Amino acid sequence: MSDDPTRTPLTPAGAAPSDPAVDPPLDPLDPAGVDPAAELEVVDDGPISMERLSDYLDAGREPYDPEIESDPSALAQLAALARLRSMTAGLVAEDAAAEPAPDPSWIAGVMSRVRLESRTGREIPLSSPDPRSTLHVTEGAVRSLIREAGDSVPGAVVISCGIVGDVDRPDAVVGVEVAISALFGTTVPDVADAVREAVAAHLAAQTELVVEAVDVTVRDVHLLDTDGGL
Amino acid sequence: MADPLDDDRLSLLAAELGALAAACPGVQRVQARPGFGSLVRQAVEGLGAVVGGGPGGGADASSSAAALEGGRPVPLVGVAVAEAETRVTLDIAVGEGAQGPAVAREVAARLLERVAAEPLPPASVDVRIVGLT
Amino acid sequence: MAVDLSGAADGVLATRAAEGDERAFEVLLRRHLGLMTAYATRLTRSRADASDAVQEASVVIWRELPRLQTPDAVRGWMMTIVSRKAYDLIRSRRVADDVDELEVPSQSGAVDDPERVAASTDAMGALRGALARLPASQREVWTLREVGGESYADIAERTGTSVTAVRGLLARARETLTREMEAWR
Repeated sequence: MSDDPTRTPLTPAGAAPSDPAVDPPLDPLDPAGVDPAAELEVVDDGPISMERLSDYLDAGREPYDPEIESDPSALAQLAALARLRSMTAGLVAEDAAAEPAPDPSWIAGVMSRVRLESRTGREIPLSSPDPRSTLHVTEGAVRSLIREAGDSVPGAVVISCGIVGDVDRPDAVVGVEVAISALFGTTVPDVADAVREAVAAHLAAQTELVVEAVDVTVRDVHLLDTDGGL
Repeated sequence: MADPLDDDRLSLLAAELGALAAACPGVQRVQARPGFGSLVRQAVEGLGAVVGGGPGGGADASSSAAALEGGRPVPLVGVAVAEAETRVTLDIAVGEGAQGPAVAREVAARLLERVAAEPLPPASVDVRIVGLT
Repeated sequence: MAVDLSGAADGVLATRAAEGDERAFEVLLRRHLGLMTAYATRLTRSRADASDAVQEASVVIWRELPRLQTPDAVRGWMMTIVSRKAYDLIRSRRVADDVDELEVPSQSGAVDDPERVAASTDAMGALRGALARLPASQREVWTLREVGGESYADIAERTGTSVTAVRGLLARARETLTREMEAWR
């Protein structure tokens, strides 16, 4: 069998030739035909090592490697690796799903620590009739307002938003940028317009900023998925 | 009358200021200004007493104190008394339907009025809106 | 009424959370908490330690989200932070217990405890059994790669070895596992 010119031996030169009783000829199209009790011969420093096969599988079998793809043992090993990979994914998913739902107090503990590190951003001054009062609104608060305004438009979900320009005076002139995801099937320009209007209105009501322009970009489109997961 | 710079009395005042702020229409939450203590020590000359500013975190409008330190509630509103001035500092979250700047102005006005009734140096109030939804 | 974020894509949640949206962060955390906890449990072999590691990781994730360049890849990124925290915990326990080697300790109740393995007679159970029988160092590297999806460089850093050593351990683990799974078939 070791003389068979169509087979690339997996054992290094000089080692004992493969035993035909243990290594029957393999059909690359039916690697399951391998005797399950047979040891799959793979050696680390052989021409087609487990590492090389793993990397090849990781790379999605690209670029096509003729040496591997023409070697029945290697293909058998690849198939076994692929089976292992899929089983592993199943095991991981099973473990994740088996985890009990988190204790509400655990989540609350994390969120209270998170709140201590809130992203306030710049401090935007508010006008004050009384010189004894200093009033500000944080950039973080204004951004959450912009998010809420955009979210309030049916079919829109805000992805990102920002205030562009200096905010060192109550009546500072700024630009606002909003990136949204629009629900598939809605008329995208209409949704964008509605977001623009909602953001402008919310900002006019809650801040003293002079908003020069509200730039709405539709960065993504999503499907409504009632099972969760867009 | 007790010494106006007495820490205990100041803490009580700070707690009361927090309750006043929380009671203002439109105020959803009163919070301590992070870093209040160090900020005010850097900025104010001739500092006497500093109370409040809490360890951080907020409280619902129903309570004006955050965590307990040594069994006593630490006020969320920071009050710093120096020779020539009294500084009051706090963060607020404004609820839905309320108008942020107007609420901030109202809170500042009420607190100023309250502090003016105390035998303290001239007061200023620093209100920061950290939540607007 | 706030928009329902439970169906939003990971990338959307990560970007919003990076910009300060605490609600989006909570949705993102809850979505992947099972995976993160299962991962931490495999690494620390202790439910209590896993819970601590994941909590620490969660706060770090919130803090470092603004620096994530690829929001769509947030899940893998979170797993890296979980393993970082799990290893911090393992190391601090080690110092306390004065153990010389990085030997991941076994405890019952962990994901592959004998009862659970014995209870399932299917292929999944066979894989769990095979995993439990791997030498600890191979299982460790396998977990970091196959469950955590971490890079060879990160794995080498976690385990205090080299990329070459990591590849070698992984190859041996895969050899053993494929052999045992094929034999089971």
